[in-house]
Amino acid sequence: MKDLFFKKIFLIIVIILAILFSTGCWNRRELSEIGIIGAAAIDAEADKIKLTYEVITPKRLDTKSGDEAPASYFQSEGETIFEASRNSTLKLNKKLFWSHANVFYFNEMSAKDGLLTYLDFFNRGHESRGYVNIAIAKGESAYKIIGIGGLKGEVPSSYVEAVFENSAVNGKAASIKIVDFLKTYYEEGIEPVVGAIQTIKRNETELKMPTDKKEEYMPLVEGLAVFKEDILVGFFDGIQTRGFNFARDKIKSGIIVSASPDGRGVNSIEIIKSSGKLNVQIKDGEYYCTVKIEINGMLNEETGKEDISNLEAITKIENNTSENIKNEIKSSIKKAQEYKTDIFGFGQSIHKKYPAKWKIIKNDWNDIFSTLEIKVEVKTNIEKVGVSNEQLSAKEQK
Amino acid sequence: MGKLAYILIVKIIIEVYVMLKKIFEKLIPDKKTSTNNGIENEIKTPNTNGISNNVQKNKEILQSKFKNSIDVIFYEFETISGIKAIAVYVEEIVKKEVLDRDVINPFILKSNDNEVTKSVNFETLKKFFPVTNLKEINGFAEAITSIINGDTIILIDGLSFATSISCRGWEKRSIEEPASETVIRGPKEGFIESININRCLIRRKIKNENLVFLNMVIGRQTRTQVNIAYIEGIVSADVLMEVKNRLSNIDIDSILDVGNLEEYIEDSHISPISTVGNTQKPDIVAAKILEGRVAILCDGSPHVLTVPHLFVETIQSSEDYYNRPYIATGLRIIRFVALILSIVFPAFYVSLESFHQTMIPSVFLITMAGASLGTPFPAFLEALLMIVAFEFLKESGTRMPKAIGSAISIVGALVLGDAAVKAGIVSADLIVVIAFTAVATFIVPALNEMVSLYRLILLCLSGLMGIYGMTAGVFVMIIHASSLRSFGIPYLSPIAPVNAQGLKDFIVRFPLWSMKDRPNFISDSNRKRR
Repeated sequence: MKDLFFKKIFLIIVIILAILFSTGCWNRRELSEIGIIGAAAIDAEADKIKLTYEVITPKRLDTKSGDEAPASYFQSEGETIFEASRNSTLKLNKKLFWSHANVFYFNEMSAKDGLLTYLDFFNRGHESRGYVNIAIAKGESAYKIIGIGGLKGEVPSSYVEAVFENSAVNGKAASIKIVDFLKTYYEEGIEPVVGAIQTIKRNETELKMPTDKKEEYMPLVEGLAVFKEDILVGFFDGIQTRGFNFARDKIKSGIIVSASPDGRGVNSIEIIKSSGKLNVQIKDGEYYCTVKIEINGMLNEETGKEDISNLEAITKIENNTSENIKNEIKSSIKKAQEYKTDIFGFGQSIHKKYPAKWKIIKNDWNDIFSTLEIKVEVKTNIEKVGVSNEQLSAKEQK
Repeated sequence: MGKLAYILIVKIIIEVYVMLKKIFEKLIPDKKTSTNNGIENEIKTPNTNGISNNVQKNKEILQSKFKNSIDVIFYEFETISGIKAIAVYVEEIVKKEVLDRDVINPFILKSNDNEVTKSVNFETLKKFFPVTNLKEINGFAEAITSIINGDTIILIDGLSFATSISCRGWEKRSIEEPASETVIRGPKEGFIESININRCLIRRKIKNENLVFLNMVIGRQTRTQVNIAYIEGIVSADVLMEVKNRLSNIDIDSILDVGNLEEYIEDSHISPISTVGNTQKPDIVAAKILEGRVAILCDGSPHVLTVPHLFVETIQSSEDYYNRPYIATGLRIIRFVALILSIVFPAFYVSLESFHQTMIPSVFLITMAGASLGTPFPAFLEALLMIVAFEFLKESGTRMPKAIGSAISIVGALVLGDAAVKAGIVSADLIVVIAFTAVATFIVPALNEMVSLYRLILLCLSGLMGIYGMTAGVFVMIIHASSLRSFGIPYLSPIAPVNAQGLKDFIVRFPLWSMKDRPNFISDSNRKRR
């Protein structure tokens, strides 16, 4: 009896010890040992990768914050991203901690190499999350973008992330996360896109204003990087991006400027609601593709002279707006056809509607897509005209 | 790997628990082996000689029994007709005015003939004492018992029996609101240290002939009066039997408070969870015995025990039933959340800070990292330090004289809070966590001891193994709680096993008119509440 008792105790101690030492890659680390990464820039060069990262400075309570820089920047090199990241420990007193990254920048070369090779590290690592914005640095090195933007004391990477989010009400940019990219990549009949970012030089007036960081450059997130599979093929400008967003039904808001009904001014329509639909029909081996957009808008500005309390005028405004949107969409489709990549997902609709047909054509769908005649139909409904029926400039006519 | 280790941890903790239980059982002799019956304990004085008709001789015997203790008064007097008599009582536990006015005085004046000495039996003697509660006493043992209980014994020369007159009365606290159970709505009276008054307080709530009080005397030296209260016809016969059994198995020297009893009758000795409830309020006791429970009153204690005591009762409050159901339900949710938080919050914080930084929102992580930059200890040690400091504060707050109360609160609030952060010993966010936990702890006072203990255990587990260890600990806690029984009733009922009628009074307090039946997991007899 007593023997059994002690045997049991012994066994328990052995098991406890075994468990304590067999906990795998799970690790205990104090907060002061980790360097929280806010953003990373990946610059692929001919034979190595240059990794630039932003380590956020923890906010200390006992010192006056604001005097310290919100983040510091380091660069290390390696053959792979992970190697480069580990090489950082040669000069940094903290372990890099990837979980709270806001945004990753890639240079054009890495995107042209195939983005997937670089995303694998972020997809595989136990510390990384899929909900990180990715952006392609347009026409420059990615490390030039990291670390700029934001007010004094603000972490630049969270500033850029907020800018991406803010751009949703504009339509001229897209906020693409790692998961979004992977989802569209693995989906059949649609090609992925990634947000584009570049630096712009600030003008003298802006720089002279007080209470700012007085940086010479600012980040600008306008436009879109267009991919074919995981290879970068080109860029969209802001207007083409908005056309793409209309067609993909990704528009939350935006301002469309069109000519006034009497042609003597302009008006701006704010999009309240937009619904876009792609439709593909195959008849006698011919593809009939249409993009149908319906927009509910609100008239926010009108500088023309015609009385807009009259319904005809409103109809004219609606038609002008529809025409403008149609042109935007057409220009973006045209550009995509030039790049021979179906980022709109017409192939996806065929895949759903005609699965048998899709199996035959899927390998050369992008070529078929580039030759298609695509019809665009836009319908605009102006729901509201704001709080005044008459525009200010209409008075002199009466 | 992870899952396997997880199961192993749970198994180990259970094994350790079982082993501890075995060790405890070895250390503590089984209480049920003592078969001494408490009710028979009452009179065990060896001398059972009868009272003789010689007053002086009787007095000497009694005096020697009380070892000439000065608080036992032997008052010798003589009636007008010349009969010698002695009144024996304990000073200050009899009402002297009543004794003088209604017993001694009429007896001296009235008994001017020789009828007293002629009356050989008790019945004829009665008319000389114009009071109720007269009792004939034949043996010395009986006489002693009634003297120490506050009765007065009259010995009359020539009669071979004594008369006991009950005119008890002593200084006692007035009925007031108990400081530890204050309410905004509902009755404010509380029990006091006198069992008679306490009985009366309950009787006044339940005016029903089925309300029964049973008397017992427990404690060889203190001979404390213990009462069991229940309602015949509602109480569960099994529980009542069990209570009687366990009480009568108690064989100890002294019962100074009902808390002494609690330890003897509870179900599990090593569990940190108490399976016996206690309250200071008659309305709560009334409600509990109306649900089929049994109350245990003890002379000298302002607390009354109620059994069986289940988990649901800890988050119920008497006010829930005096307020409207919405408010009561809202408050119960708050209590439940507070209970959970007070147990797991520090452990959760520590495991997030030192294992799972990924789970912390980015903005908060940056401030947290900043706060812990200057501190020398790991988060686990910091939390342990602060929890221990808090327990110190709590204890000194209860024990200290009221006059230096403000000093303690200043030291506690300033030194342990603000100064500890400024000195860089602990991080500021940890102080917030501990303060929050401290506040939450007192929302469910009934489980205070268990919460303090579990909090520490979970903290250690999470300091070692993160969320992984913490959840394993929580698992074991729940397993343990569901294995508990209070007087035969599962501790977690009505949640486990589920009881629909009982769930009406758990987190959501249903309107009173919809709770038509009594909770049948406590007592199955007489289900309808009318």
